[in-house]
Amino acid sequence: MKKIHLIITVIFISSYSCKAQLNTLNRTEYYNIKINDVTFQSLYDTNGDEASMKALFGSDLLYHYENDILIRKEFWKTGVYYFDFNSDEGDYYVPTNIDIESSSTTITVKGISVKLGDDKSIFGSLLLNTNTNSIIFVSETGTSSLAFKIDPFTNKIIKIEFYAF
Amino acid sequence: MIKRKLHFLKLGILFFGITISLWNCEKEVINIEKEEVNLNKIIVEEFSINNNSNNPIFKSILNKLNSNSRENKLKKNNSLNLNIDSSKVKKIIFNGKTTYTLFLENETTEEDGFNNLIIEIDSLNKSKSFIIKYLPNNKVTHYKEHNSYDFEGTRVLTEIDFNSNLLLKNSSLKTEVACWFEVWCYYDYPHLAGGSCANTQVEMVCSVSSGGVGSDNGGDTSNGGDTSNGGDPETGGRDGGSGSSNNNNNNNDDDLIITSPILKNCKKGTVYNKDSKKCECIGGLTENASGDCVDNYCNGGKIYNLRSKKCECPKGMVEDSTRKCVKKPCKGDPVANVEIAAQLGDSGMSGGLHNTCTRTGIGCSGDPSRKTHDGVDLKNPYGAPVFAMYDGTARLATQYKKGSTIIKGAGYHVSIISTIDGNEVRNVYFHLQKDRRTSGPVKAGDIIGYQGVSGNLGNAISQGSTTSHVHIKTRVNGVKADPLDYLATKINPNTGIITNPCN
Repeated sequence: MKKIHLIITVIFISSYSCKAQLNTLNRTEYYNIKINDVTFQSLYDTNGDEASMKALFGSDLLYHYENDILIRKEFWKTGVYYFDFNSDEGDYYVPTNIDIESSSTTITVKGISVKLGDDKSIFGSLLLNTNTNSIIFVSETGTSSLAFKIDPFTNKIIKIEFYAF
Repeated sequence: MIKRKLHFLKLGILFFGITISLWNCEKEVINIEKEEVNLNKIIVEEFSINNNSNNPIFKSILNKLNSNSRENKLKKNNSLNLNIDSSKVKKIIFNGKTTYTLFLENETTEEDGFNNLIIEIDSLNKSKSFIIKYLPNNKVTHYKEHNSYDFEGTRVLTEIDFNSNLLLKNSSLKTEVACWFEVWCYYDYPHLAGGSCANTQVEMVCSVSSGGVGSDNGGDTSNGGDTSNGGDPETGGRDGGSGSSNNNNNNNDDDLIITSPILKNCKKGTVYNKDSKKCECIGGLTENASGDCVDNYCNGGKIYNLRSKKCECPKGMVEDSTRKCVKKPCKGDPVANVEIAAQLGDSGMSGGLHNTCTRTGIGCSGDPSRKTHDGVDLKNPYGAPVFAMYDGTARLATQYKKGSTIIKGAGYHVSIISTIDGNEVRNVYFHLQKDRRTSGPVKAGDIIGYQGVSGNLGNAISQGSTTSHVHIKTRVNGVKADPLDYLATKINPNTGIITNPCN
């Protein structure tokens, strides 16, 4: 009987440790992610429209449009942040990449406000993805992620990146 | 009832006719039959002539031949001019008889032929000597599929008088049937010539000829596996022993002369190249500074092609980016072993299929709060090749972050525009490696790039959301289409289950 318990425990621990260490956000939590004060919902609502993006992030936001093999719109403030919207057929645009490049930008997720350079302890007991040494939040689809990369030596947040695939 | 009997009678006549036909055919074709031979009875040894343990009769005959050659070569028209290479002797003991085979250095008039000297001593110490000429019909053939070197041609056996050092007149084989044993030695894989013999098989080969000597149509071993003269370096080197009968009775062991040909006394791992007249390293081996043959580049499952002098992948395989040979897919498939790469999250298999509402966003017809997955994800390990599905024109593209060289989203990709049934079909292959992508005209089945993790795929894999795959998008006349409709392997577009494998 002891043996059976042991086996079950080992299997449980193995399956737990093999499971992707991701923090899943429900739909509300996901669309409530904020970049400074701009929610993801607002970001999606822009549909990649230049004027709408500038209304959210400032008129000095730079913009580039490409319609070739890929259809995409890029917005950025050099050294501050970068947004890449992609579209299948030029009708709906969704963000596929966001880079936060400055500690002047605050990201809020699950009510936790985080900046580059913050200590990882700010995330409390949230799961750390040991493969990437990152705290990763994923949408309910599992295909959009917001990752906070931690420096293993200083425990500081060194990269904040959103990507969809 | 009568009809039924008549039917059986007709069948009987038909079978009788076929049997007669086969019987007649059998006399005209080369007859190769395997025989159960007790291998314990065959002993094959190799040694140098200086070895003191040599049989004294053999030594005595050899001395006679050597001295007579030197003394008489200019005195007699029909004298032998033997130049015996005594650095290696192959000794075969079988059925109470011992044969010693040596390479003859004499230049033959035939461009590709070579001669061996055979000294035979029976159990009563009676001895005979022969010269056996191997005359290939063509140059030695290299068989790529099993990487062996075969010989097709004629063997002429001529008895010589070692006392007078003369050719014995009319002593050449003039039989209608010549038979010989072939001892095949299959080496363990991987094999470098000189490796141990794993399995031995003995075959009796008989050849039908009209009045002349036996015409060899059964692979010769001269270049095919003798540990010093060749051998399959990867799959099956073999050592050949052969013996010819000098009468029509091919089962009479007393008349068999068993020999193992020596093409040239090249050191292990080398083979004699008749063109360069040098011993050269055999397939897959190259000569290092010390003159030794080393296996330094024919790896990754490749086979050395004697003609191209290159290591090449076997048929049906191609080289991947790590230079290993991998399976080639069916024409029309972009990867070998087509299989949908499922998302490891809740969307599962549907996450890898086209037009499924599995992405966060907007615009999906089934769920407006979701985005469709545009295209399919096909499993493909990192470094494996990606192949063009159709003939077309390829163009390279990369999703860069504006104003930088940082790669985003789709990463390095290749777009191929093809014309299929009058429609312009564009297939785009995403997440490739940067290097070795192909642009310009391509044919279906050409390698157009190698699987990478470029773009967002690397993040997705490292966080455990998916596995290595090539993402393929298809546009037909500019309109979104399901890539699965254009694969050779048929996959259910709803379940991702393969419904009709291409092979």
